[in-house]
Amino acid sequence: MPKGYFAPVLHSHLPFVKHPGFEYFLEEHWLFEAIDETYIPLLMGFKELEEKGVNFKITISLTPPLCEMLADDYLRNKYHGHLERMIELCHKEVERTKDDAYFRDISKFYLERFSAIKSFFEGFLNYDVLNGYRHFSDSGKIEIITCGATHGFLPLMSSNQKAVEVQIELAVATHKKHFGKQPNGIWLPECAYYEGLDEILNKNNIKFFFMDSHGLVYAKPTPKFGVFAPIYTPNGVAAFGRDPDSSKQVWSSKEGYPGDVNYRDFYRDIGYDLDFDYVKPYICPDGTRVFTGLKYYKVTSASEQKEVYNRQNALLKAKEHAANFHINREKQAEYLSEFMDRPPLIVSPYDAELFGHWWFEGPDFLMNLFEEMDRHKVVEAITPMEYMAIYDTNQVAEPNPSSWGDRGYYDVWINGSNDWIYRHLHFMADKMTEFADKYYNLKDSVTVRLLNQMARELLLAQSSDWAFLMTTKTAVEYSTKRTREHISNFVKMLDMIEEDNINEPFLSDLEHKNSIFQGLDFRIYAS
Amino acid sequence: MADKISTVPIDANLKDESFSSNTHPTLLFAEEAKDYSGLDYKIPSKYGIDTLKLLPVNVNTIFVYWEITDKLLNNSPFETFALKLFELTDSGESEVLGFYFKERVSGKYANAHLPSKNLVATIGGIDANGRFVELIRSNKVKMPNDTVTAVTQNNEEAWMSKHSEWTELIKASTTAHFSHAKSSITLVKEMEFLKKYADKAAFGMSSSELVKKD
Repeated sequence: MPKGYFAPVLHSHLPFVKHPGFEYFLEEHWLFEAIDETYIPLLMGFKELEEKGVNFKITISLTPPLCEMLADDYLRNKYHGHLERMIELCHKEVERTKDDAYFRDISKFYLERFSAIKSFFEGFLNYDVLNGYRHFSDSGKIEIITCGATHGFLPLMSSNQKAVEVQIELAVATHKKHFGKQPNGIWLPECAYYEGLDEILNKNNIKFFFMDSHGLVYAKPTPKFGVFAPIYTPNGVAAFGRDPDSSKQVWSSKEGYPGDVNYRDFYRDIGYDLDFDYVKPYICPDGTRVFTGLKYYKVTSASEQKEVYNRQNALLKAKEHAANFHINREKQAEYLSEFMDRPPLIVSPYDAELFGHWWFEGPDFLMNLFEEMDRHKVVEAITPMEYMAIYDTNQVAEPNPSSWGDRGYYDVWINGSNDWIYRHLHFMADKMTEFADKYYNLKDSVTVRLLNQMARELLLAQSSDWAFLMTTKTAVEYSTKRTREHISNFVKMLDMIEEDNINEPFLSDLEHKNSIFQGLDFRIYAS
Repeated sequence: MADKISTVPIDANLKDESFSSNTHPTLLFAEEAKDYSGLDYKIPSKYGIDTLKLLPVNVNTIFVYWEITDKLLNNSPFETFALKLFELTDSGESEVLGFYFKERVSGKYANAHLPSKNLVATIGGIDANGRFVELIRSNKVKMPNDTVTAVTQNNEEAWMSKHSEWTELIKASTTAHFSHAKSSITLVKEMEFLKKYADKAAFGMSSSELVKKD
């Protein structure tokens, strides 16, 4: 028996972004960067572990908006074009730096890297990133879980229970559509929980979810094993709590591994550094400089003076950090097991995009960590379902309403910068439930399409990303306009129904642009 | 009626504290989108529906917003209104705070330490005699908790009083991350108190309390 169990969790999410009217749209580029730097590198790493015969187990949430984007033909084609453009840029860079001893190696590294990503995308993934997740889900290495349908912040929409139910029901249905099976678990958007949510989860056959540490520590009663074993909610759903120590080792800006001087610097990118005319074809067509993904410097120090990135040194450091993280988990498990009658479970959830996008060497760290665990066999990687198969008796407690945001509750998603949105979101949800009953038996196909699109606009407006960005004062204009756009679209369509005057071209445009959940039926909101 | 209303500021510089969702990837991506510009979208400022909603923010704060329509005031043209916040208990409702206002469409933050309380609010007009005439009732909400809680039903298994396991495990389960939380000193004191309580009385989690999952 191992001394402890380790349950890593990667939460993968991006808001639904699709702008078909534009050849290049910055926010679509977010998706492409995440595929280049996080999703494909992780899948490539898992493939390598599989080929080496290394045991690894991980839980990965793939949110419905992300699944819908990854499966979208338009965006998949656009991503392929993006890869071709990146390789073209890499070739130019290799040529530009061929006599430059300082940058020659790093430019070659990127050419090899993007070529490998393209081969993996065209080959193993068959032009569909979800194929990689399906492969490891089928082999039992990855437990893929779902999330709220559009990452809606559930506690703040719970005055209309149907709105929460639809977020969960639709998430489960979308998961089944993409993976052909019921999800066992859910990543609650922002880990946000409120009393009563477990009943809805249970109705949807969700077996487990995750919370921040104080969701368990302040549960009623405070659990016997703290966060080192799950609890069952009154409705029998398992809640797993985040381990603060292992989280901090990676997350902390002061003590965390990603800040090591040998790792790649996130901000220095040739999109900003090189001559404007030279990089212009690879940045925004309007001339706005953006990240290209080719970053040549290492963290070096806090100063502006950066040294060139050395890939081999960074990989050695990732290996060293994985060994350090592993030994810390061993010590932690040994210490905790003194106080428990079973091996402690250490749950370490992270945003997936932290690995690769923010922390470039994060995927290498993770693969090294699995190799360490497999070699030493002291702490064993496990998924929540596997843990519950071994320990199916757990304490019952009422989880504490909480989130994993700043201050631990709901402050990030409701404060002076974003509280204005709730009046609209609640109105839209109430109206949607009213219309679902009123028009339940409606046959007119155009009006049904309109009602379906109203449901899509509501769901997209509910994304917690917009409120988050308003709070952080990052992309405030974009997040505000995205919210206002969905509210405005909803209200316009509401007027069309009430005035019996449907503008079909307007509806068609929205169906094309905000095309999430193609099979959505507005009657899902019926009582 | 005590007026406990104030706005609730949130740290402007969330990026300084990166041990949480503050380094959310959307934020990293969105850093590039500062110059986004596009169409403006018109949205209503009100919906013509009588509304009163309560939204918990944290243990100490609740947000409330409302709309009072002309139709509701047809027969009772109040000029001043009041909002009353009640705790719901087994014996009924007890008022915890309230305030007067004149705005027909607005929202406010109310501050009071209300851990684990069930709350509901009402809005009423103040008539010529100064009496409160209820007009709208809100949704009910449950506030979050910020306290370590012990089981008290039985002492069948006194593991907590014999050893320090529980204290150690709960200390290891906490972190300075959540600023709402008590300081570690307060937390330790709280647990010491619970431990003393456990030594004297019924305290602990019985193995019979553990429920086997289906």
